[in-house]
Amino acid sequence: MLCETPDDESLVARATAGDVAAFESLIRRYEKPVFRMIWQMTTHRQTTEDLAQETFVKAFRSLDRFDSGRGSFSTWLYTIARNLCRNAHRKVVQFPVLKLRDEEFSDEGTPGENAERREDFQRLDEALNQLEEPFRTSFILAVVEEFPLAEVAAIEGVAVGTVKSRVSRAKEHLRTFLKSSTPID
Amino acid sequence: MKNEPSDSLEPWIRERQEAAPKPSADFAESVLQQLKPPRRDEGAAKFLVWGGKLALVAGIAVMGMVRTYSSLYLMCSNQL
Repeated sequence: MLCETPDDESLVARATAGDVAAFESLIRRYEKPVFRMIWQMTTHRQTTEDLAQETFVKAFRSLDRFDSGRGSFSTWLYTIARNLCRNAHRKVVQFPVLKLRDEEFSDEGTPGENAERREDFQRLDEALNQLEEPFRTSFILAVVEEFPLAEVAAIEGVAVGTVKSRVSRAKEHLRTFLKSSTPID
Repeated sequence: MKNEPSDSLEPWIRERQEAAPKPSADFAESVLQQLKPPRRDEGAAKFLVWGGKLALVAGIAVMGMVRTYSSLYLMCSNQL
């Protein structure tokens, strides 16, 4: 027997009509990418868990406002997540800087090289944390999470060219920071 | 533009991608728990029980007062 996986649109239609099982399928389909995306924006496990849950709860309660003519469900969901992350970022001023684990560097290079790399990574995390919006979000979505540029543009509500320009500026800032170790304006 | 994490930033980007955790196994259940409407039936049952008790006490009190006043009225009217 052939079991077809229902597409987002039919699941959204069923969920809008109150079918919680259909919404559960959507949660299972998108929990990982939403979680990853939020973690890249916050680098804090508990905050990620809370914001990811809030994203799906908010999506469920606003399903009647979702317009498939304006974009895909995934883009709409990522936009909710991105807005929640930005609000949270404003509230806490800065998320904690990601702490790299020592064992990740154990089998590459000499201990001196590993320590240097660890420092570079730490500095880049700090630089990314300090990077201003909207450069930070565009960089995380397009480069770190490797979302297609058209999707990043839809999430950010700007043209693809604008995303390219933001990403390019963000990279420039990060490279400059890495070279000079001076804070980004 | 396929997002090209080239040059000096690439190892750091790869590290960040690998460091990203996965959601907990019960993530979907936790979300679904929050979507459940509050259990109104339990609240309604409590309201009925306490409302019923209150109505019974109030009814007994009113009946007692009526009986007391009617007895007093009869007593007074007999004396007159």
